[in-house]
Amino acid sequence: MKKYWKTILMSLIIVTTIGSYYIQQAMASKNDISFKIETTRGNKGEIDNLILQASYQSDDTYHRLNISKEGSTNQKSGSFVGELIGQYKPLMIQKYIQEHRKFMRGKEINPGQYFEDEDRLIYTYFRSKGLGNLFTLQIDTLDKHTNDSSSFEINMPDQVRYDWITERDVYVENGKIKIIATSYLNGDEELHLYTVDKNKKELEHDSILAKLQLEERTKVIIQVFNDYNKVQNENYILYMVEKYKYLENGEREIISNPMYLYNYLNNEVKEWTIPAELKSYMNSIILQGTDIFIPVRSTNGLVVNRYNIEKKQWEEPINFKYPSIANAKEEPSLQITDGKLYLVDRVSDGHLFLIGDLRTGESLYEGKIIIENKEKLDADYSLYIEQIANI
Amino acid sequence: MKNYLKLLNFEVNRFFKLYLTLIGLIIVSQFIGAIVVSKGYMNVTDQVINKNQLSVSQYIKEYGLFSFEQFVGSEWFVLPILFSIAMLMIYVFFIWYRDWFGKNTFIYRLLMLPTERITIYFAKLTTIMLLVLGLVTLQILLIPIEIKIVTSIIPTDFRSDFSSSHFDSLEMLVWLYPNAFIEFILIYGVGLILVAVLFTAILIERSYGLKGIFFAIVYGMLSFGVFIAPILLNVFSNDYFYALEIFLMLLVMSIIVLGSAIWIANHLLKYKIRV
Repeated sequence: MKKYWKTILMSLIIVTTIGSYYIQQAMASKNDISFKIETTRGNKGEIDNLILQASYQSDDTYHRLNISKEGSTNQKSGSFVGELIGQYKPLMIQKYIQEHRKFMRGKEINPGQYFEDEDRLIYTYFRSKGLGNLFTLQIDTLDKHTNDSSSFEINMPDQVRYDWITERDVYVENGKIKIIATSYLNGDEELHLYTVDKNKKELEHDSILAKLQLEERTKVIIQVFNDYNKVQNENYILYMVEKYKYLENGEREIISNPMYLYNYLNNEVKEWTIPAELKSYMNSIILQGTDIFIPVRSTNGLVVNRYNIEKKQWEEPINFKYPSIANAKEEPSLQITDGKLYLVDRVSDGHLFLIGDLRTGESLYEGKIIIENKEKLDADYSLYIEQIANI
Repeated sequence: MKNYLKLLNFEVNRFFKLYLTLIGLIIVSQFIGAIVVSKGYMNVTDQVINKNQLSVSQYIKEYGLFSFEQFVGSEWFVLPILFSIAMLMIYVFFIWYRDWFGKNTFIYRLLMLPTERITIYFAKLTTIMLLVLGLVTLQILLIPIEIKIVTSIIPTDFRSDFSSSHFDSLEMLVWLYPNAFIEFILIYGVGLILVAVLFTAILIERSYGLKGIFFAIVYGMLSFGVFIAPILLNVFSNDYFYALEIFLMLLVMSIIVLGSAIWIANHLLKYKIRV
């Protein structure tokens, strides 16, 4: 035994050190930040089935977590196995994978490529065909009742060549599949509306809703304001066609940025003007049903301006009052789903979570998202909600 | 088992002096580095503050706090690690070839030992893993001391709090010290497979001479191909498989590669090896 002291000593030191290092790591991760929702007012039932997909950031840490009424669960971060297995996916895609594992094989995780109603789940995908920037459009349909799926592919016309195509929305009605997609070629950007006849399995139309050519020192961007995570039909699409350039001092100068409303029902495009006083809140525009909402944070809460597309008029803004810190560096996280407003905003002692009814203007639920283990509190943390889903 | 332990201890002993030198080098370089980097930072800080008549808080606002990563990113810290990795990589080959080319062809005596010859292979494999893990352990032990050195030189006001500093915030070390134990096992498991494949390739060369070099290269590429086959499969099938499935396939492939490396080595040592 004495002869082997070097090997034995080395092994002992290795095992105890690495062992205790990982025990320490495991203990530390038990103390990870955890959040809980504390109801302050309103109907507790509102949050029963909600999951908030959030990201937490403070000085040197960043991680994703899911918050629900039961508390929070940390998504593994910084670990490669965790990332391999739990790669970030929008919640509805996670649900699709759980429910239709076979159908979802090999599918992209961009919600803009999906359409869902009670009977079907439809997936559309522009696949680039080898070299030469040619594309084919693949359409897969899953019958949710029988679990049968069918698939077909359409060759895009030969003269259509792009670097890549990003899908924004899929609209399905009367055997027609309409896809809104941005395509890029050498810095030029085009917003297309592709109409596919589902029964004939052919491309019926390819119309260009907006086209922007790259001019010298000018940059272009086409922005779509519809909810990225909405996979059901939405009759209107609101988009902006922006040209801008960078001045010598690094500031961005907007040359033009008209906005348009496209109506799926009658295929009409109309220009839509945003009132000058709301222009600076353009980034928080949300289109939902027949309303365009523009939430604006004020010192004592949130004002939701709304425009009714069908009546073509602005309606009385809705006020949700709470003591907001208007100059906080964090932007409020907002989501509008099925006529309800979900708001998470920084308040003095944590984050306010408010659910408001946009039809009546009443607040249905108010609560606070607070850090459970206070000793871990870093006053400078920020919490951003990526998506709130009803599971 | 007893023979295995004897051989293992023997191999460890053979490298021990060089190993201690390596450890000494790492300690000296990193400790000096910790002092030099912190002192250097304080010198620059003093100069800037004096020259521009800044208060401490103004200075920090403009130049930011000193973080431990500044030291970890410095050559004082990184170079000895890279040097050690290089040394151990060389030793993977040397551990075999020294037995052939050293004084009085030692391999002759090794192969004549009254034990299964594959035991030699296992002993050498374990030795390499012990040496690697030894250095990994050393770094875990050194970091807290280096934090002490840095904090004793740089006042609290000038540095971010690194008492909570885990390896996971240190970019480069994430691969050496993954966050979860299971990942630690996986990473060093892949390392073990790599060493085993290299060993077997060396034995192929030792068994077939010049032709053997060619066989060894083919064998190495084949092993690598089998190992990454699941990833290639997924690329060519347009991500048909879910990540977990790929992971399990990789696991199975790893076992196949390791198993065949040991099997081939056993066969070569028994019947083909030349002295």
